[in-house]
Parts: sequence; C-alpha cells; structure tokens
Amino acid sequence: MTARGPDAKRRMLPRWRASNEAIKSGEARSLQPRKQAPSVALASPHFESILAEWQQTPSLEIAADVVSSAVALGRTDEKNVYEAAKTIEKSDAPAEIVSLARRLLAGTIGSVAPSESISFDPDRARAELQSQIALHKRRVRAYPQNALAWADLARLYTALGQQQKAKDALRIATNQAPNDRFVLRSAARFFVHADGKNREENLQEGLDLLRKTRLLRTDPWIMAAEISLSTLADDTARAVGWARQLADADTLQPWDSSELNGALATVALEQGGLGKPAKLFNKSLRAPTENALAQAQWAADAHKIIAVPEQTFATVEAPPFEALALRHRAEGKWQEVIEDCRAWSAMEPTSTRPLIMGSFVAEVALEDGAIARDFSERVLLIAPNEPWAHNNLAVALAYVGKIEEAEQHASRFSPHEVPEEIMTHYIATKGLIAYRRGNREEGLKLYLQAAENAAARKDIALRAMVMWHLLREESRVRAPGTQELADQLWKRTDKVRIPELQALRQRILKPAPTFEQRVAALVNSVVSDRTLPPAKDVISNDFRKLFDE
Amino acid sequence: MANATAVPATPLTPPYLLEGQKLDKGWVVGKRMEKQPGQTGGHFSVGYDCTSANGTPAFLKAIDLYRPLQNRGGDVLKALQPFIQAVQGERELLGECRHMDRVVTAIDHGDLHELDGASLLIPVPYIIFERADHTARAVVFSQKKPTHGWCLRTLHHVAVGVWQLHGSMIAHQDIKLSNVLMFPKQQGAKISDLGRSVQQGRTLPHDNLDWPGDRGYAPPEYAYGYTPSEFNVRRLAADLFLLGSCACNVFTGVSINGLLYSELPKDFHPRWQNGPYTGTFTEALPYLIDAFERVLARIRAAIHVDAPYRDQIVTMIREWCEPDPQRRGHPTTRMIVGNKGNVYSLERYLAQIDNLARRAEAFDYMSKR
Repeated sequence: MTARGPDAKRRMLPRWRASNEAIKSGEARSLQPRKQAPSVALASPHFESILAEWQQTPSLEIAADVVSSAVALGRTDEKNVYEAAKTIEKSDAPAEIVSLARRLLAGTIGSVAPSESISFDPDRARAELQSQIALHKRRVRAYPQNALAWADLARLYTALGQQQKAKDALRIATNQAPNDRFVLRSAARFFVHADGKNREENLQEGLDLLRKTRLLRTDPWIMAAEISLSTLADDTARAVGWARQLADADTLQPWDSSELNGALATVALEQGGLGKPAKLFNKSLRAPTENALAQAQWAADAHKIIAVPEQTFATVEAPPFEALALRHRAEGKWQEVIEDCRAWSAMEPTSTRPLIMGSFVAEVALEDGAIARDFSERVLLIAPNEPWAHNNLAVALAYVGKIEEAEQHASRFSPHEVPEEIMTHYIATKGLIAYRRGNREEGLKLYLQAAENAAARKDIALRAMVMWHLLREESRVRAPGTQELADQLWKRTDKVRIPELQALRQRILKPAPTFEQRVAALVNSVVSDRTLPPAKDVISNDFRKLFDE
Repeated sequence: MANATAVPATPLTPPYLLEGQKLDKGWVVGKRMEKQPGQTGGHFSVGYDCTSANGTPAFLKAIDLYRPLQNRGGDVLKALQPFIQAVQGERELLGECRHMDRVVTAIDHGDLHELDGASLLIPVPYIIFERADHTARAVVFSQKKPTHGWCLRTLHHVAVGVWQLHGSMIAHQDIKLSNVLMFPKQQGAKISDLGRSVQQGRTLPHDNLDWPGDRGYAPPEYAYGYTPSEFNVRRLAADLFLLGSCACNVFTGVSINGLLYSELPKDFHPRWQNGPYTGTFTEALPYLIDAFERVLARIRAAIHVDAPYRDQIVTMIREWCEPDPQRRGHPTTRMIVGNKGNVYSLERYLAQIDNLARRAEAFDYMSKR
C-alpha cells in the first residue's frame, strides 16, 4: 500500500524555485507599499551634455556613451537614445555594444532568462541534473561570492538526493547573504524537506536561520516561513505578533502579504486565536502567489471554510499547478491530477509532494501501475534511501506484475529499519505482493496484521485504507461476498475524507474484467461456438426450399 | 523622464569672446572649441585652443563667472560661493598634481583683466592645460580597431595616473574613457578633468554630493543610496570601480554600468534610475553580484579567445568592480594591510598590467607578422 498520501495538513512553506524563476515570479522583489510616490529619475547634467553632444555631432563614440549611460540611468525610452542605439546596431562597433543596443531596441534590458527545466523521466532528469550541477560548480568556483549560485547549486543537489552537499552549499549561501529573502526561504525549505533521522535538528537549523535575520520583523515572506516552520516543529512562532501587526495595518501591496495571510489563516484554522481563518484566507486571495492559492484551495477542500473562485486561477503570476492538482483531485478528475503533478514536479523538482500525490492517485484511484511506477521511480531520485519511497515503488511494480522486483524493493529494509509511521504500509505492501503471487492466505493474514498495527489503530483513515486495499485484492481474486463487505465498510468509513477511496470502492463494486476475461471475450467474438449445431445443418433445408424449388 | 537639453545659444559675455586675445607669458588664445576633449564635466567653463610663445599647442579653460552671477530670482552670493570654491579647489588640486606624469596638469593659470584693451568689470580666470590629440573613447570607436597592446598600455597609463592621485589622497571620481586623453609622440594616455575630484582633508563643495561624478558611471552603492562614511571606502573604492569600468569599456565598448544594469533584473533597478526597488544596498547586493557574474562572462567572451592574458584581465576587472565596495581591490593587499592601511592600493596591479601590456604588444607584433 502506498505510503504517504497527499497532505492532510498543508503548511504555507516557501516554494524552492531556481533563483531566476523566483525573480521572474516576483518573490524576490523589494516590498512595495500600497501608497508610494512615483519614482523619478534624478537629473544627470553629464547625461544631458552627452545628449547635446550627440545632437551636435552624432558619431559612433558618442552614441556608445549615450546608450551605456541611458541603460545605467534608466533612460532607455528616450527618442535620442533610441536613435543612438539604431546607429550602433548598423555599425561595426565592438560586438558587446552592438548587443546592448539590440537589447535596448528590443526592450529586453533587465529581463530574466528562464532556467533550464528538468525532465520527469528519472534517467534523463539524472543526466540533466548532473550537467547543471557541473555548470553551477564552475560558477561558484569562478565567483564564490555569488550566494544565489550557491542556493541554486543546493537546489540541484537536493533534486538529486545529495542532501549533505546541498546542506553545505546552503550554509555557504546563507553566510554570504544572511539577510536575503530568497536565500533564507530556500534554506528554510531545504531544512523542512530534509528527511530522515535528523529531521528535528534540520527543522531547528532552518528556524534558527529565519529567527536570526533582522527581516523577521519586517518582511512578510520571512514571517510566513517562520510561522509555518514553527508549527511543523511544534514550537511557538516568534513572528506572530509582528505578523499580526503587519497584516492588520495592511500597508503593503496584497501580493507581498498573500503568503503571510495564508500562513496566519492556517494557524487560525488549526490553533485558533488569530481571528477568522476564512477572512484571512480571503485576504490572501486578493493578489495571491500560486503557493497562497494552493493553500486556500487545500483549506477549501479539507475544511470547506472558503470557496476559491475559478477566476483567481487566472490572476496568479506563476502557473498554479499545485492548486490545480488539489482542485482536480477534489473533483475526481484523476487524469488531470496526474498531469498537474507532473508539471508541479517540473516546477519544484526538489519536492517529493507532487510525486507522492501523483503516485497515490495512480495507485489508489486509477490502479495504474505504469503511471505509479513513473512517479515512484522519480521519487527515488530525490529520496534514494527512504523506506517509504522503496515501498511505493514496490507497490507500483506489483501492480504491473513485476513481483520479484517488487519484492526486492519491499524487502530492501528490514522491519526494524522501517519507521513506525510507515510500518502499516510496509506490512500491507507485503500482503499485496503475497496476493499477487497467488498466496491469498498469506496476503489476507498480512493485511489484517497491518490493520492491527499501532499506527493504524491511532488513525482511522489509515485503517480504512488498509481494509479497502484488502477488499480490492479480494475482489481481484473474485472472492464471493466482497461486494457486501464493501458496502459494510463504506458505511463505517464514509467519514474518511480521501477522494480516491470513492474510485477504489467503485472498482470493487463493479470490477473491471480481468485480463483473462478480456481475452476470452475477444476469442469468443471471432471463434465459432462448437456447442451450437452447425449452421449448414440448420439452414441448408431452408436454402433448398427457397432457391432450388 | 528628463528631456534632452537643447544646445544653448552662445552668450555674449567675455569668457566667450577670448579668441585672438594675448595673455601673460605670451599665450595666444585661438579658436573656441565647441567640444573640448576631456572637459565634459565643465558646466561653467569655455574651452579654447591656445599656443605658447614658442608655438606649443595647449588648451585653455576660461572660467565663466558670469553664469552664476546671472542667477536671477536666486541668491547670487549663494550661487557664487560653491562655484568659486570649486574653481579654487580645482586650481589647488592641479597644483598638487604638478609632478604627476599620468595626470593632465595645468601648465599655467591666471586672470584676464582686459578684453581688446578695455578693462573688464569682472575678470576672466583661466587655466591652461597640455593639449591632447583626442580621447581614448575616440580610439576605441575608430575605424582602425585598437589592438590589445594599445588597450592594455592605455589601461596601464590610466592605472598609474589613478595611483599617483591616490598617493596624494586625491580621488578622481570621474574616470571614464572620455576623460582619458591621448597625447602625441608616444606619450600615451593621461587622466584629465579634476573638476569632480576630492582630496582627503580638503573641503570642496561637490564632496557633499551623494556622488560628485557622472551618475551614469557611479558605483552601485551610490545608486542605491549608500554612501560609506570612511574616505577610503567612499572615494578610493569608487575610483577602483571607475578604473574597472574604463577597462571594461576599452575591451567591450560598454561601461561596466551599461552591462551591469542590462543584466540586473528590472525589479532591482534603483529608484535613482526610475526603478521599482525600495530596499537597501545590502539587500540588493546578492542580485548585483549575480548580475555581475554574467557581466564578467560577457567581458570574457569579448576578449579574443587566443589572448593568453584573458583570465588575468577578467580577474582584474572583477577585483576593481566588485559590487560590494568592501571587497574591491587586490585580495593579497586586503589580507596583508587589513584595517591598517589603504586596501585599495593599486601598487600590486601596476607591474601586472605593465607585464600584460608587454605580452599583448608582443602578441600584436607577432599577429601582424
């Protein structure tokens, strides 16, 4: 059974994008007050005298000075500058000034190049990540002061599952730029993401970084990250007081405070005491980031306290893949969820969450082993040593009939190495493999053992999942009475809010024909039925009667 | 957006009517120069060609005292005071630079009291400079492309000039190719126009400005409203940035700021240039550094692949133009000197550029053959 489903409790954690994507999305820009006097370029007597010189004697050398200075002074829109750029464009001036003139004419001064995307296919992704890591290593070697390059390198290492190298790179980045929002949020995200035994230590390191910066008192993006990390670490958030003041004053552009309002709304929803969560969520949706939109969509699905208007999806600057995946999941549009999760994973290749959701939907709702295998193999690139990742691949492999490979992954970790929280899944997966081997008795025993496990006893949803999976296997072997049991189980577990269960139940109630049944149907449609008397014996007399006589 | 200023009509005041006048020590004023090389910063001066008694060509800068006096509707004395201070300061600085062979120095100065025999109510002060052929900017954009040998030799001369100025704790603050003058007969390049220069311990009116020089060339700390308090960081580090900008301009045809702000994402363009950025210089620094890395890649690509000194040139430009003024300069100097001396000393670079120039000249010679 698939370990780790989609988030039951979603936190407003920062996204970890490549630096240029973060800049493009606007997440790194300086805070913009709601009321701000329009900026005016300062007068520059030198520039005016160069322009006068250009009007008097329009030579190439003066044109170059005009263009260089105009770019440096932000005066690229002026007619004289445009003319100077035109002169340079047509000349045989040095290549770099010609390039600058062309960019000025094309209006691409200060535009940000997109980052190279990472494929979904794990083999290609590995090669692409390794090549990009080599490139970034060259960058930081040549210019080690570049904190953004270090953060980007850490992101690539994380996407390749090289946690220690990522941590080292991030430590350098945070030393170089201890008060940079992008670097701090990237680091915070890494320390949340870092899995395994040192999870608590990592969370604390992430929190320490956020709490040390002076931005914690002024920057809503840092406040949102600190509040969310604190709730994850079961710690008291330090930024709540300042965050409430900032949210109440509402002096910043709604975009700047959208994640903060989302984080406060989430705390209000779970702990109370911060006002009405719905009001805060609606505030976060005035000009949302795609992350804030996903948080609101999660609250809408899981708690039914707000409704996210359809048109809000069109207003966000970065594509809202996670929010779309959540919405489609709630609507039971499983194929769309799969596509959204693929796109979300490409946007955030360090995160296992899109992959977990994709493989969960593929396994539970669609029972499509091939898709589940794609997602599970991709997870292994990020988390190669995680028992839950191997468990999920074992499930996918069992679905596509590769029982031996499934067994290898399921048995990669001995029971004492498997964390308590996924022990139920681990035993259930063993049960699945036994069923698929044809050993119903062993399978049944293991599934029931999983349902009695400590984690399943505490969590009704987990126990329900085990039992539904057991019934699915029973249904596959055409065990009599499965449908009656499914009806009974549905009555007992209908309060469990897992949208995929409905699809699973439908498959149990109306099982799809097995492979053998489908082959038999096909054969029957073309091969004659020998149990019937031959047609010539039945109709030949009639032929004679009708035509010969 | 400010509009381009129209070229003003010539005023009929004495500083504009000096053609043909004979000055003390036999100087004869020649034609007025609409565009005088290396004097772009003189807003209150008029340039003339002039020759000495023995026929040596020179350049005369006549100070226009009439302009501040015409300050209608304002306080004339208030307008005159900083102006006189600036002129006085420039004269004194030029006096200090007499011994500097890579700085365009004053040959003579004085005041003209008569015009065509008639006494002037307000005299015309003047300064006479060495006469250059053209600016380095003209060479970079000439039909005959400059060789690397020329580029590096010119850079060496400019660096020596800056080093000489820094030796007297004078910061030029307006180093750019149009202020680098080329002299005939193998004399090479010299830095001109001390009109925006400052000296430690000397009060000059423009020292109070956030940035005294050309804003288009200003180091990024000034564009983001950060003025370091210590003289060395505020002024000498800025000169290093301008020197690096000159080097960049020589090799690419673009100033470092032209490249830096073209690579810097729009969200981080300072309000100085009508940009949306509202944060501090320190907060902008990681993005400036990231953009600067791309600038270095562009400079590297602009230098001929076969040039064996390419990496060294790029490293020098990097050390001079680091967006963080605290990191500018030679790393060894910074390590050795620490807080006890001038970490922005150019001494270590001079021999290095001279050596590179020699190699480049040899490379050019071999290429020609």
